Amino acid sequence: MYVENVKSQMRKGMLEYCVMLLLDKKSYYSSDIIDELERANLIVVEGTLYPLLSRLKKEGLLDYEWQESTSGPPRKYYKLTEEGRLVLVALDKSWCTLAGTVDRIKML
Amino acid sequence: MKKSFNVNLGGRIFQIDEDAYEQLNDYLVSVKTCFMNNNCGEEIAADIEARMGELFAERTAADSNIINLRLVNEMIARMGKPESMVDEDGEGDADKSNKSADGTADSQTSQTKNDGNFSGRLSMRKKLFRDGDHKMLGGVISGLSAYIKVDVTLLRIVAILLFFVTTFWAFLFYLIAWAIIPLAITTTDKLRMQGVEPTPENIAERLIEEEPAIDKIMRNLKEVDNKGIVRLLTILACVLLVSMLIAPMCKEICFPLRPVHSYFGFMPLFIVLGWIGGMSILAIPVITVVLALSSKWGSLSASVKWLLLIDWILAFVQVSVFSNLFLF
Repeated sequence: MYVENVKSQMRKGMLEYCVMLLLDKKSYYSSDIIDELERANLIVVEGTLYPLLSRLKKEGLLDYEWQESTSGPPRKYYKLTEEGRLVLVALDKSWCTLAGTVDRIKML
Repeated sequence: MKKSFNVNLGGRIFQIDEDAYEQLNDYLVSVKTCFMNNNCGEEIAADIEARMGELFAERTAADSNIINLRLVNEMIARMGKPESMVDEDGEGDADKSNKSADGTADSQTSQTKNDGNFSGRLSMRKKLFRDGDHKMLGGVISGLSAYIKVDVTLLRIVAILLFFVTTFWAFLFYLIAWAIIPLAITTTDKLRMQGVEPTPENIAERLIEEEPAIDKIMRNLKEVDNKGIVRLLTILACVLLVSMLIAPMCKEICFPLRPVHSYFGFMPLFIVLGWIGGMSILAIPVITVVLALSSKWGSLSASVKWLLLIDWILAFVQVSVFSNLFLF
């Protein structure tokens, strides 16, 4: 139970950063984001993603546009805004520092 | 037979069973409620609805065209509990800081607004259901215990006493109640059974508690309910055994005197009991053959098969005892 708790805390911290990393490369449909995150074991239940996307949008870090779909209703394609890219650069730095710190402590 | 509707789920049209519809509606309403304090709550709920529509479209194309309760429960498990969605992205923290900044008055107004929105629409009276989650046989007594708030074991003891005192007429009453009282299937049903108002908050809370129950439903659908069948067959065996033991005593006491009341009091009872025995002689082999021919025979436990045989033999003995006593 304790291990699960810590793991879930780690995932929470990572999730936002990973979503932004994904959206930096190309624009994504939310279901494709879910597929990627599930493949990486970052997400347990799918519902978690939507409030996160909504929050990032509210912060102005990402935006979406509607695109027609060959099957079913139109879909929202999310992509990072300029501001989002700037934030991502900052997060990248922070991540490198964190990863470096972890590696360094492991080496001690 | 089930009623079914057409629904528009995130821009797709589906055909959905009535019980599945209610469960899905409960879920979507509780999702909406959880995100009510969020500015973009409507949008999040719409996104989730659209995603569920997409998943249903994938699944219904593969199986059949109809959304059933099992599929809905599966999808709810996949999407997750509404509350964990709010928690996991720190939205809850943001709300807390908002509230502390704006003072308690704000949270109170949002609370009253929330009550006004939903309780009027969903307000329903307590209703008698059969409780399938805590059943021994048909769930009539467990449902009744939830309804009148009396301990279920106590009610069961009273029921068994009634079965004997009323010379099994209470059992007939039980069977009728089993047939006419609806089973509590959706979360709304289960809340109404206990007299809890099915507000979105209560539904959300119950859905969280019930997550293991979803697994149970899915497991039950795959497996045969061996325990239930064993109970039923044991009761049948007891009825047959007790009836052939009490029949000679009753005949000795009542029939030589032949007062009117004993004739009306006991004769129909023995007709019913004899009918149960006779039907068992016919029905048990038929049911056995049908089961043996279907794929379910392998998943039946050994005790079920033995009980079928024992019941059949008992039915023969009971019918021959009865015909000796009453016909010749």
